[in-house]
Formats: sequence, C-alpha cells, structure tokens
Amino acid sequence: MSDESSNKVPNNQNTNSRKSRRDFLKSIGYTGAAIAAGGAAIYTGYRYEHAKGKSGMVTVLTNDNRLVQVPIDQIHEFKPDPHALQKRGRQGLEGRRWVMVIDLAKCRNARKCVEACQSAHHLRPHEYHINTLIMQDAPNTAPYYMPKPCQHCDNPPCVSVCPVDATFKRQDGIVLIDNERCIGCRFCMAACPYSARMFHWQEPVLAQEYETSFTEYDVELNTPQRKGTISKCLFSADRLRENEMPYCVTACPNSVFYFGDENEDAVTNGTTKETVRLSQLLKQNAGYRLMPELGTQPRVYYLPPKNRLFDAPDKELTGNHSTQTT
Amino acid sequence: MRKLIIFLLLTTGFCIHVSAQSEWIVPQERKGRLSSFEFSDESRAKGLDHYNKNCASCHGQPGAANYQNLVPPPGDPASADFLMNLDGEMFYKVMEGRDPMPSFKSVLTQDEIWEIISYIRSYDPNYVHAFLPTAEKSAYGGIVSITLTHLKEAGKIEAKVTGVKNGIIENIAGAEVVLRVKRTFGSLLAGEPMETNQNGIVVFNEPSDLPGNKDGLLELTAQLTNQDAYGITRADTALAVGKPFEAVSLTVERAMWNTVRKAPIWLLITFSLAVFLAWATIFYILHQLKKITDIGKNVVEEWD
Repeated sequence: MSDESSNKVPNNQNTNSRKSRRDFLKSIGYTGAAIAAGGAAIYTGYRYEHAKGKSGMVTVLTNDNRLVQVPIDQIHEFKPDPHALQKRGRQGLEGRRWVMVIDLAKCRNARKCVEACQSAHHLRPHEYHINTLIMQDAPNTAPYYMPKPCQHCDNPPCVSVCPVDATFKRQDGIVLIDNERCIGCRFCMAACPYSARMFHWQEPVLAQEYETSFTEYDVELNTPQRKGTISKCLFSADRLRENEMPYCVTACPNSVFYFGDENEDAVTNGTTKETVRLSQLLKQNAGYRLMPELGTQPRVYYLPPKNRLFDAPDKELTGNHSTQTT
Repeated sequence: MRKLIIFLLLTTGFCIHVSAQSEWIVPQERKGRLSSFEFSDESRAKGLDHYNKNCASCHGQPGAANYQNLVPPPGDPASADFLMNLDGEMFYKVMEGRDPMPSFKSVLTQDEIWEIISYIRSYDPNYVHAFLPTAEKSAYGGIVSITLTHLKEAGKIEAKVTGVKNGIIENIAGAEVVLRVKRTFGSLLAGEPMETNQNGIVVFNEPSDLPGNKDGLLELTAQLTNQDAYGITRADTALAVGKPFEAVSLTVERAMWNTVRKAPIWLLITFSLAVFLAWATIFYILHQLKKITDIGKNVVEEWD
C-alpha cells in the first residue's frame, strides 16, 4: 500500500514534472525551429536583395518594340527547338501562294532592297540574294534598273538537281535552302537559269559573332550562314510567318515591289501599302515573267520599264559624216 | 552694269524657284487641325509601330538622320525643320503626300496618322499638346454609324448610314462610302466609292469574282471617306459573297523536284529497275563463280 502510495505520489509528481518539462522542451524546440526558419527566410531575402542589387539590369527590346530593363539574374535563356524550326520551315504556310510583282518603271537604283536583304541575312556587300542590275538593251536606248531576286519557280530546276535534298520547295511556293544538309556541290547554281544563287567562298561576315553567341539555325532566315554552302533569296519566309512583307519589299523607297498571296488575287505595294488586284495589275500593265520559254514558272512577275527615268546615252549615229568641201 | 543686274535677277529668280520647290504649302484652314484624342504612351507605341511599317523606309529612324537620299530629301522627323510643323501641317502632309512621298489617305486611318504624329512629337521637348474630342471636331456634330446588310437574292450589299444628333435619328444623304475587302497585307477596294441616296442607302455589287475561303467568306469593311465631316465611321462584317476557293498545296503533285514520296512514277520504276538489274547482275556473276568452284572440286575428287 505504502509502496503503492509511495509509488503513486512520485508517479504523479513525476508525470506532472515530466509533462511540464516535455512541454517546456517542446516549446523551446518550436521556438528554436521558428527562429531558425525565420532567420533563414530573412537571410535568403537579404541575399536575394543583395544579389539583385549587385547583378544589375540589362536593356532588352521586346516583341512589341519596347525597350525594357530586366535584372540580369532573372533572365531565362530561350532556345528554339531546332527540329520544330526545321519542320515548320520545310512545310511552309498552309493555303498560301506567295507572289511578287516588280515594277521596273519605278526602280531608281536606290539599292535599299539590297541593303535590307544583306543586313537581314548576314551577307557581305558583294554577296547578293537580290541585286539591281543595269539594263542597257541597246546602245542608243535609255537604261533601266532591274531588281532580280530568286524567282521561286513552280518547276524549280535547282531543286531537281540537288543530290542531298538540301534545297526544297514548300507548299506556299517558296524555294528554300537548308545549309545544314548542303554539301556545297553547286549543282543548283549551275541549274538555275536566273543566276539567283550565291556560294559562301568565305567565312560569313558575322562568323565571329556566331562563335561568341550561339543562335539556332533557322531555315526560314538561313542564318547563321555557313562557309562552303549555298545561300539565296528566301522571300523572307520568317517575316511572312509573322504576316509581314519581305525585307526588300518594305525597304524600297520607290514603290517598286508588290507582294501578296496569289490565292487572294491581291498584292500590296511595300512603299505605299496600297493593295491592288493581282490579275488586273498584270493584265493592265503587260506583266511578264523572266525566260518563260524554259517552263520554270517563276513566282516573280515584272511590269515593263515604261516611261524611262534615265536618259539614253548621247551617242552619235554611226556612218559616214558628210564633210564639207570647198 | 546691265549684265550684272541681269545676272542678279536670274540668280535670285533661281533661288526663289528652288526654295519654292522645297517648300510644302499647307492650306491655311488645314493648319490648325488637332487630334481627337490625347497623346499617351499607348498612342506613341502604336505610332511607332505604324511609323516602322509605313515611314521608316524613307525617313529612317528619328534622330538618326539616316533618311533616304531622294529629291526633295525626306528629312529626319526628329529634326528642328520637321518639328517646326504644326500638328495640322504634319497631318495634311501625311494625308495628301506629294511626289515622291505617297499619300497615306487610303492606307492609314486618321487616328493612325495622329498616332504617328504623337510618336514623332515624343522627340520634341518643347511640344505642348492640345486636342479636340471627336464630337466637337466632326462637322456633323453627332454620332454616325453604318449598317451592312446582305441582299442575297439581288446579289448586292447594302450600306445604310444613319446619324444621331441631339437624340434624333436621321438618314445621312450624300455621304461617300467605300467598301473594302481584307487581304493579307492590306485592304482591297471592292468597286468604286459611292454616295448615299436620300434614304442614306448605298448599294454595292457583290465582289463575287474575288476569291474568299472555301465557303466564299470575305471580311468586308464599309467606311465613310469624309472623315472631317463624319469622324471615323466604319462597319466590319464577314459575308459569303466571294468566290468559294479551296487552296491547293504547290507540293501536292508528283514532280522531278518533289520529295522521294512525290517523285514521278516513271522515275521510281526505272530507278528501282536499274538498281535491281545491277544487283541481279552481281548476284548472277557470283552464282556462276560458285558453280565453277563446285565443278572444280568434283573434278579433283574424280582424279583421286
């Protein structure tokens, strides 16, 4: 009994004291944990703020043409998927048939089309996707200028001869070149009756930049360019994907270029932004295509150079001049 | 002495002629024109977008003086010469154009031109902005609207122009209406502009020869040309009035230039045959060689 009572009392005391100690320890534990967590949070916050201040800002141009500043440590690198780029580049835009009309009567050889093209596709001044040629049909006729891009033929001889499927035609009519497949055999250059293709004999002009900052190859822009491969006019397939007209078309100050979709029977002038019926424009202005006898069926139409802007060279008629004899 | 006077007269005459050529005179009544909205960051951003699409090819980037070398020079929009123009003068010049600058009347709406001006004005530190809300600005002084209805049996599109002024609804007669069809890079005129009759009605023919989608659906916009009198009034709709048109892929047919799957059948057959014949010849020769060795073995056995 005494045992019981003696057992009981200390038991009671023990349980009481144990409980209180346990509670005490528990509360200490909780407090400690809370302090540690809070401290850690504050420290992380402090470190974040510290780092944020130190990392600095970078100025970035957004898609909608705004200049914004972003903390450097919050930048996530974005890499487009190379397979997706290749796939969409090979397929083209559904339901479209792009067509270009060049009005030779308006070209004043400003060469802005050439410059815009070269800057977009990373080309040197002597490397042309589009070039403006001086046309002197006869010694005594007025000259005119002729911008000549790739004709994007519907029956492209360059594609037929490619042994490695590097150059191809898409459903929207554009003929593209994939410089990751190109082996530089230059069969296509030989096959093209319009001399529309160029070969990269040298390292591309931005070769050093390509090395420092990696950019995924985009078949619709054909950049980065590569030494030992072919390059050519792409009808600015990257711009068309964004519903904008090609670089050369919008850069022209003289309203030379019309661009549009044959399926809509409409073309829009790159300078004045005036939209006209394609069929009427070609019919009323005697539109024609280059070398139709070859059956290549180009997608580029020309309007004849009427009302020449430049004078004919002053050449005397050849023959015997009558000399006065006295 | 007389020669000198003649020379002076000629040179001054020439100078006046040259300066008159580079001067662009804006009619007095158009100079004081103001925008119908207040310029804001939003209008400047939109203006930048329109500027890049429509103006940058000749005028270059404002402040960079990288404009085209044309006659007369287009000039840098951020230059003092340019910013000296009143808002109304800039508006007139963009609207009307002169050789070689094109008129943007049919390309940009008036609001879009004002957005461009608001963007250019962001390069002008001394600029004090003033504007006049539309209701005060339009000569009509009320709100004008267009209703488009498709008269299927007659094959026509009817546009009715009504105005609400001082709580009274009325038909607007003699207002010029244009009907436009949306295309990828711009809008195409569907027929000539026409004026409304006494009932405020104008009837257009269906642009039935214009390709639409596979149901012949076209996106149409009717607009009043006289924006000064009626403000910017337009009605958008989509009607099945065009030629039903189903686009065909250009790579669908078999051709020499197409992928292996779409190669011409004669090419596939002749190529396969040629490959088969080449291999068959090789196997035939190998078979014959084997036969010879077999015969050789038998002969050796017989001799034993």
